[in-house]
Amino acid sequence: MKESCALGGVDDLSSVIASRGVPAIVPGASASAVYARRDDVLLRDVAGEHLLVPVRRNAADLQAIFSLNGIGAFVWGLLDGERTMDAVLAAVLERFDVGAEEAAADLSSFVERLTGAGIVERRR
Amino acid sequence: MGHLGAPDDAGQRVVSRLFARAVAGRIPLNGSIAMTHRCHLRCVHCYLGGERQARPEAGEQDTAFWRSVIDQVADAGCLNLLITGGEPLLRPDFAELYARAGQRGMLVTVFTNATLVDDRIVHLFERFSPELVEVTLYGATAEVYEQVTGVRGSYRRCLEGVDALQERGIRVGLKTVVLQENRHEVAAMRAIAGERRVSFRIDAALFPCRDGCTSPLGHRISPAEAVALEMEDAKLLRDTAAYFEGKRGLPPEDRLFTCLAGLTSFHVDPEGTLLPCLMVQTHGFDLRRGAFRAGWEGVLSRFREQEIGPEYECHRCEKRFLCGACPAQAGMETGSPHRKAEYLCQLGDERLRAIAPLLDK
Repeated sequence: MKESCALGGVDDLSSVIASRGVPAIVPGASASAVYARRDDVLLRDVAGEHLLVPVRRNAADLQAIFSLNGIGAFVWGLLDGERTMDAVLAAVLERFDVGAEEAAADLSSFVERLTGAGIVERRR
Repeated sequence: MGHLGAPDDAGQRVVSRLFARAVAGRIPLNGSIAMTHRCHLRCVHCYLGGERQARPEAGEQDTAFWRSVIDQVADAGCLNLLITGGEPLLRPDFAELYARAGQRGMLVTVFTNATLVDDRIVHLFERFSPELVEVTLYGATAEVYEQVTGVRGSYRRCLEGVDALQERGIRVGLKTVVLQENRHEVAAMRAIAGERRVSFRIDAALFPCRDGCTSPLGHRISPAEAVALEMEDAKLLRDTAAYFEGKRGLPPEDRLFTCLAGLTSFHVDPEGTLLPCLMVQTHGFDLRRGAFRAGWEGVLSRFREQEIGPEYECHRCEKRFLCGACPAQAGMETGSPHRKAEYLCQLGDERLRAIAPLLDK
């Protein structure tokens, strides 16, 4: 059974520690684009929050910690440098009870935000 | 991204939510570990007394033990980890254990006197940025600093260490503990921090030694002078008044400890004893004999349940939000956690006097 959860919550993504301004927005993710989470950023469950914590924060672009909601944490796990955005979207639609159009838009915003923050990289 | 506020606003919201959840769920969000009590300085006021000269093999735990502790506290939900001492840089395995804490996704703060900062440490902190390296200044001149630390050359090495960290963009904070010896140099110490554009705070922590020796208390300055120096920081004065406004009028507590010790925070001492905080000696759990989780759920949970004794007087006092009332410190100073510590009480009086003009009538 699918989890009932508004994918609108994907963009409930917040910087815990002030980042250096609002990250630049990269061009929207196309269906065939592939993204990879940085391997020096950990997803931690702390007190019920899904936190993205950079392990190495010497880089100027890694000053922030982010909190994801449940869908965001699910998507984070899929950004493996192999799956296309289409495949990620399909996995979200299979798992969560959301409309395809809304999910696609939110997914695009989500990866743009994380790419802008320097913790997700576009591979192709 | 219409739901996203500015990063600062959103950040504060998540921090508040995280903290509230940690309190509600009794999650050890914040912890400190002292892997050693050894120190090469001999500060006149230090609460560690003779422990600073102990040999490492006299009770200090090995690298494998601390690796396991770091893993366990991360698994239990610790996000903010303080590595303190003694002087933590004296441990040959400091780099390995510090890096491990970072790799487990904890935000690490280090308390150090900075005199042992070398290229290796600077490089380590460049690779894994600490949340903060906080350094205590004991004076603004070599004469006064070294009168406190007892070690010639330590003032110069401290500032060299601070500057080496700063030059590489590592976040440093300075603080001092005000003593009879350095009271006249507080302004100059504040200026040293100002020149380097780093934070500066006065740490009021001056306790009897863990072994009961009260000699550190002889270095205290009067409560009136301590508060006057502290409140030279105008922001602190405003924040203290705002905090007091938010708290005054709350009903008296029925539990002895109302702080975060054992609720969202913990301490582990060099012998491997899990404690609610570094001040508490009465409730400890030996992590050599059991897992962190067992100690947190067991001994530290019972610590939180202690009730106020009939002779306790501080829980009804309005100044308890200003004096830093701490039953553990009272216990160290008076022999009973239920008896008020006179010096703290006077600090409360002075702080109330200082903020009075800012309070709503």
